[in-house]
Amino acid sequence: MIINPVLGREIKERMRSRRAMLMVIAFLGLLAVILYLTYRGGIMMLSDRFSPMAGNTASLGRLMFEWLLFFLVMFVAFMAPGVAAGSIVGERERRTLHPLQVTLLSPRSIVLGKLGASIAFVTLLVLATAPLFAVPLVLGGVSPWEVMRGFIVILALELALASLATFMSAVAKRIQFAIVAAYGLAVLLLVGTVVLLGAEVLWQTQRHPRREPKPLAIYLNPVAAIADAVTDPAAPDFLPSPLSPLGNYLRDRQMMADEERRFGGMAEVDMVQGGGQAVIVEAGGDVIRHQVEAFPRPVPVPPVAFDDAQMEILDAGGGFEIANHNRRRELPAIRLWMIHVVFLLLISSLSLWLAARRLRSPVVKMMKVRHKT
Amino acid sequence: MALAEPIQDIAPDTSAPAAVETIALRKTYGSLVAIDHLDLRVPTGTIYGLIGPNGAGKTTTFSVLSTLLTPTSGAASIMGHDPVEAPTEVRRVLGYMPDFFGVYDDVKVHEYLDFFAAAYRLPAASRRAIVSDLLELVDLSHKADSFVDSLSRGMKQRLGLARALVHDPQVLILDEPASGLDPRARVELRELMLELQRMGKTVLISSHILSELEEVCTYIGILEAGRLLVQGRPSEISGTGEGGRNFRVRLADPAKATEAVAVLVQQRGVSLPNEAESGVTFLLSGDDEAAAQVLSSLVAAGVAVTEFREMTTGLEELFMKVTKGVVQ
Repeated sequence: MIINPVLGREIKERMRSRRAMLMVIAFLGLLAVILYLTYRGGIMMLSDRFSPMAGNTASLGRLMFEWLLFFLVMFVAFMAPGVAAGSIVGERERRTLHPLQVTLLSPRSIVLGKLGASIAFVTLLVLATAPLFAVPLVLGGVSPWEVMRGFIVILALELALASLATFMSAVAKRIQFAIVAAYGLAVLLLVGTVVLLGAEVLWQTQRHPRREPKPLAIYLNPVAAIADAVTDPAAPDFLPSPLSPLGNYLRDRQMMADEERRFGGMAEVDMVQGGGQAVIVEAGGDVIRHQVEAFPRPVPVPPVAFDDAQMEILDAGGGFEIANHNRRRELPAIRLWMIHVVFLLLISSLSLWLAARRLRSPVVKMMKVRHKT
Repeated sequence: MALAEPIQDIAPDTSAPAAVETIALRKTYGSLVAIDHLDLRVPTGTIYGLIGPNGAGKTTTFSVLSTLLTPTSGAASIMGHDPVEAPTEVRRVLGYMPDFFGVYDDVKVHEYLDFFAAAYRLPAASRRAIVSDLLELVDLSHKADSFVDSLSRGMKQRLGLARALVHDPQVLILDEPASGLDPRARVELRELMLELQRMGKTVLISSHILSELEEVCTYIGILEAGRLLVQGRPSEISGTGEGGRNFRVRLADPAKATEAVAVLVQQRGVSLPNEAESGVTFLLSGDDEAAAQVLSSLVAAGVAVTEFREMTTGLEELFMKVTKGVVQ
């Protein structure tokens, strides 16, 4: 396979300078400092709450892991747009784009080469942090799978932000505009989606005050995806990290979703009060016991729950039974972070397609960039 | 703005097939007409100079020809390919050097050329030899390992020329290649262009300064406010603009000037033979063959000629006359 010429040249150009090496060192140094501070902070919090116990190293590992991830997300959000925003408009400003466009390189090769070069360096920095994750892994509370899922989401986020910035770079006449617009899109993705989430929750609670709000906007937020990717639904309460609020929320939500999946849907069961054990009896005679505690919120039961012909609730020794003849087949869990990764990949593809379209020539009108002397 | 009517409509040379041709090419930006009804014809193997003041439409024309810009109407063809319909085919046969172009930081001269060779999909195995040949052609072999941004302006220009040549194109389009070059670099550029012509390439070159081109170009087109006022061989253009072509003959023995004048008077097409410093001058209305005839007559008459050259000041005057008052 022949390497994309644009990518090859750019990597040579970037990695040749001493600056690249210094940045890797500085970045890893900074993250190591953050790791250490988190460690000290965790120890302090632990000694405040409990007497120091061996089991708490897991909490400590978890804390360091989540802080590390959070800083990586912030770093990617900070770096990826800035690095990629200059890529194409930079060539336009320096008058190197036209010679490139009249070669046999397709606009797609130019865009992909530029994108590859932009993300290569940031990806190198992200992957270079892998050894730092050994510390939380050794302390416990974190599984290698969680580390991997975290990296998948971070790299997808980096790809999406770099692609958006590459698109802006293909469209812009001036590098300053491309940079501002690229960061604007990054803020929209990271913060704008949170605002949207709040608005959606508000709207849903107003419409259905009794129902638990289920905002869809949460699928759009990268931090939520990270929190989800590394959240174990069955995990105990951990020390506070920037991911905790979303993580706790998602944990609850995931539990509900798991139940819904098992029972086929969501319904409000008004007649069930107090607590006890719900026993689901299937047509085939399968009995699934479902522990229901108090009912401040609705119990997930099938959408057909109120059809007497298909369901009966039996009082059975302080509990009750739900017999469901229409139980759905259990589907594999599609987690929020997976949907978000797909969303990020869609954003990337669309941005890159539009960027390549912008570089097609001949064009009806040429972009005039003032010649800098 | 009153457009000058073309004062001369010289029939393009139809003997050689056209490497570059435009038919009624027009490009407008809103109400601004960048080029208007342009019928350019560049015969294969020639050096064609497109001359015109800044803003005459030279760069727009070249942008259309080099597949960057779609014309508003009309058609163009490069070696038989339409730059709008078949840009890839045009890019294969065309080398293009824009009026301003930048180079990359942190890239060495040989890497720069290798990159463009790769961009033209040349196999890696053959690129090394091509790059070294090109560096030799443009006399930059000694700079192969220098960083491109350390080169002087003239060297960068030559590197740009080498870049436009990496895929061995049949046609070269050079937009204002001499602008900003010192006199020495201009001479080198001129020699390079002649070398390219010897290699069988067709060169289309633009300038806003006539004197840069008139010595090297086989054809000249004068562009003004988007319209081609005149095109043809420099001798044809200047020969028709006034009394004739201006020749200067230097003699080994200046005392023989009178004798030379006597010979010249008898030649067809020769007018105003005059004794001048160390030789004679005369005007000739006729083509190169007529000039050669005059020279052989002088030699046959026993006049020892050391130099026989055409003074091309006529073209400059023509240029001034043709373009007068249209811009400004």
